[in-house]
Amino acid sequence: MTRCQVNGEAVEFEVEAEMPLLWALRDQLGLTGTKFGCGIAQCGVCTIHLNGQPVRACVTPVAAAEGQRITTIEGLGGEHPVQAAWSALNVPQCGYCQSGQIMAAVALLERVPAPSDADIDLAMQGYLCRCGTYPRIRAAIKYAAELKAKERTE
Amino acid sequence: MSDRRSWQHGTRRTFLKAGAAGVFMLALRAEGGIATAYAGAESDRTDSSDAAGDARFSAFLEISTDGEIRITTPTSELGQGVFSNLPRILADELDADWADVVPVMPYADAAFVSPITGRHRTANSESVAIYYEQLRGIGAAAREMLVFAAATHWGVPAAECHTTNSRVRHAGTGREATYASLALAAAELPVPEEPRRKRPEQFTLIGRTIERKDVAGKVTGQTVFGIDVRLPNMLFAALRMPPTAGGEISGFDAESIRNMPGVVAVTAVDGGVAVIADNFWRARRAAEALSVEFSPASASGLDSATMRESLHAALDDDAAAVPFPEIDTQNVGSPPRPLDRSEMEQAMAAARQVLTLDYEVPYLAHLTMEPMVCTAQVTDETCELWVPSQQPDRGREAAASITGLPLHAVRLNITQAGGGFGRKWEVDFLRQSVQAAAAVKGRPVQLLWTREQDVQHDFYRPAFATRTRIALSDDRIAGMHSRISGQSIWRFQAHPRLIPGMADPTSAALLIYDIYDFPNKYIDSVEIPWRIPVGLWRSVTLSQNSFFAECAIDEAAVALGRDPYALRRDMLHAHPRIRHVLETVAERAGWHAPLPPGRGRGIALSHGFGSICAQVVEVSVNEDQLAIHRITCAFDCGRKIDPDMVLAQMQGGIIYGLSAALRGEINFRNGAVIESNFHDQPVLRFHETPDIVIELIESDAPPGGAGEASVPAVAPALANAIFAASGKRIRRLPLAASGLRLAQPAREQRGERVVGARP
Repeated sequence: MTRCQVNGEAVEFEVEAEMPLLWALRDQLGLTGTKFGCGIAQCGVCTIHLNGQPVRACVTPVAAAEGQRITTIEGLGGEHPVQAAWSALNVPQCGYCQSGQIMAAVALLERVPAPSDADIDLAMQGYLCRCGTYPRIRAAIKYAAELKAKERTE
Repeated sequence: MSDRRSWQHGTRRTFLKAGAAGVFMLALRAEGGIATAYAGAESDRTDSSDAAGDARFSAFLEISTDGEIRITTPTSELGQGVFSNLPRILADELDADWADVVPVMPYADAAFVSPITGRHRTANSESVAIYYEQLRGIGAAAREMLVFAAATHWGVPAAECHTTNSRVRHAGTGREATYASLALAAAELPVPEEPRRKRPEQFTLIGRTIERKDVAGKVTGQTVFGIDVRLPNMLFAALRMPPTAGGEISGFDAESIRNMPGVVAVTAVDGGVAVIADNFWRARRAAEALSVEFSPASASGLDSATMRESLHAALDDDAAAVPFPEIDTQNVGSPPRPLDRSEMEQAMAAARQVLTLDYEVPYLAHLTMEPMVCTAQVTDETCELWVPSQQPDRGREAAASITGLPLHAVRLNITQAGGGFGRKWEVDFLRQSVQAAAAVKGRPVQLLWTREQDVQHDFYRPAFATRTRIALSDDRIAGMHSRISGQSIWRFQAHPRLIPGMADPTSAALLIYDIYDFPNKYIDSVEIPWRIPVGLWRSVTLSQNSFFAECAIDEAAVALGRDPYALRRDMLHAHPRIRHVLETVAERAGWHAPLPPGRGRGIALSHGFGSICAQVVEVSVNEDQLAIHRITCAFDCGRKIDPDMVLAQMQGGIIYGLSAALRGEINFRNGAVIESNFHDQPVLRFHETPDIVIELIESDAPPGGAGEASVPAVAPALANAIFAASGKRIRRLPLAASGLRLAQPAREQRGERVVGARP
């Protein structure tokens, strides 16, 4: 039994301690926004936040979440500036990798409010997209940074 | 949303009469000049899940009395945008308010069989082209029915009414009614035989960038992909598969894992064993622990190094070569032009110079981000599937065949797909899930592949080798013979259109472009009878043949001392539309602007799917370091449903093609795929993606395809650019095999240019 907080709610995982969080979130909690892509931390589609830090849920055992705070794509609320920017620029194509891309971008903007191209390259290089949405992700991160800056001044 | 139950039961009966009796579709089929366009458009659905108070105008269209206009997209959303773009075509003719439109995912049904292809499939970048007129016709007919219902009710001439934003208005009396209030009455009316369609300048939704209906779900994690289907009592299946491509498991010991946590059943399926458990992780762990025996596969013994030798050796096998006739793609249906090998050989003999060029490309995997997945529920009477599939008609037939159920007892629901690229054309994983579900009847089973299984059990784009002989006179190409060797996709699929004695078009078509005006073209092919599973890969034939054809033209230009762009342009005088695309990309890329040493530009063209794409790649080469500065693309796909979606497809296709050109390569050792995941079959990453500049050409030509159109030209444009920069000819893909390493691109200029693009 592992106790933690998922998207602000207390949760008890009744699964093997070594089960990756990905499957506990998807198969026990039904939070299917977090995806399975490779299983070996190579593609980033399973990215969630553990205490605000982006981690790969496919290689993070449930036990590592004990007493921690987890945020998934469902926990962003839908109106997060990053989500708004993604919508405004029509970033997704198939959309399968976008939960991970968005979670990575949210973490980047928390750390670097006005990222340069180099900052974005560094933060996003571990997140694969086969539809080729990279150019729009770059534009959307910059636009999200503007939206967040506007939020702060209002 | 209003309560649909507030509608009377009598209304529902009326609706069912109008909808289920197929009045709308039957009448449409009687429509004069386009009668055949609607043949077979009647649904074969036996169930009816329609809620009370919904007017079902056809399998494509339902207008609910609470104002929702539900439009089913006939083809599968793979990321190419049909979920929004196909409903929009109908909605425009209907004069629907886009805010009222709720796109609905399709299911396998005769109603969605394309009158043009006779198939219900998502392939060939054809969705818009093959459903455009049909969707317009349904929208236009439904609009007239709504108008007539209003006019009858008001006692005014229908001709005096007009429609906008899901409403009918009569200016004379100032009366107005919503489609929601008219729908039930309208659905009972006879269908107009020749509904008036809009003139293109009257379109309000087609041709613009408007809200995409799939985006909200995709940025919030709410979209249901194949892997996200959740049903009561659902079980999860993981596979154990043999190491060899196309291999089988001959025996397994279910007892070896019977006591592992969560395991419910173990059963043989096509090409493996399914282990069914209460969650996927437990199923996978048990599948990995299962004791199995493999039977030798036909691919056993195949090694990439010797396969490459065989491909090249086959090019010398004159006796085994079968010709591919020249097909006039500008006149679909015209007979293939007879081949004349002797004239080509005479041209070779008379040439001032003959170039002989050997090229090759590797096997390629698709690598959709969502691995193969299908959910199935089998009972004694029914089979229901939830699956991201590009071939729902054949998938449904496969499920009927496996279960022994009649076709109408099989319901196949199409989910959003996490990428397709041709991989989800195959129904192998669908078959396995039905077989697994049949072992635990009554309970839904979601069968999911691992990434390793996806990489090692794909239906690969075949490896090919080519030898191209080019006869050169003083200033032009006097003839060309190109021979290709490799596996035949159609042979592997037992495709009915494979003609004995004629090359498989998925190998040989467009190996020499028919559009270029030079004489004595001759294409032939040597088929290699390996049994490695091969299949359709984004842009299929062109994925290899653009590289071969457009590098050959480049080599010819250099040998002739001609500018590669100018030579192409001069050979396109009979194709002004194609030439314009080429001229546009050259202008936009600054083709003639001088470059410093070590830097060069390459150009390439492709045409297919009713569209034309030209690209210029600009690179620097410094010893083994390759920097891609910019990719410029010009594209003409005729009328665009949404310019922004076309732009997205251009960007995506270029990145997909570039990824393969740089690193795409599947290798075999004793019949087993060596690569297994993204670490050893790397794909293009975010920071490696160069700037991409796209010019969309305005056109009123019939809509062509966009989903595959920008994939083919990247590799040849890149290879030609590397030659221009360094004098080094790339005759083998991927580039990694030539020892070139990608350096971080310099970010100089970025931009997209498109009418109506968002900020």
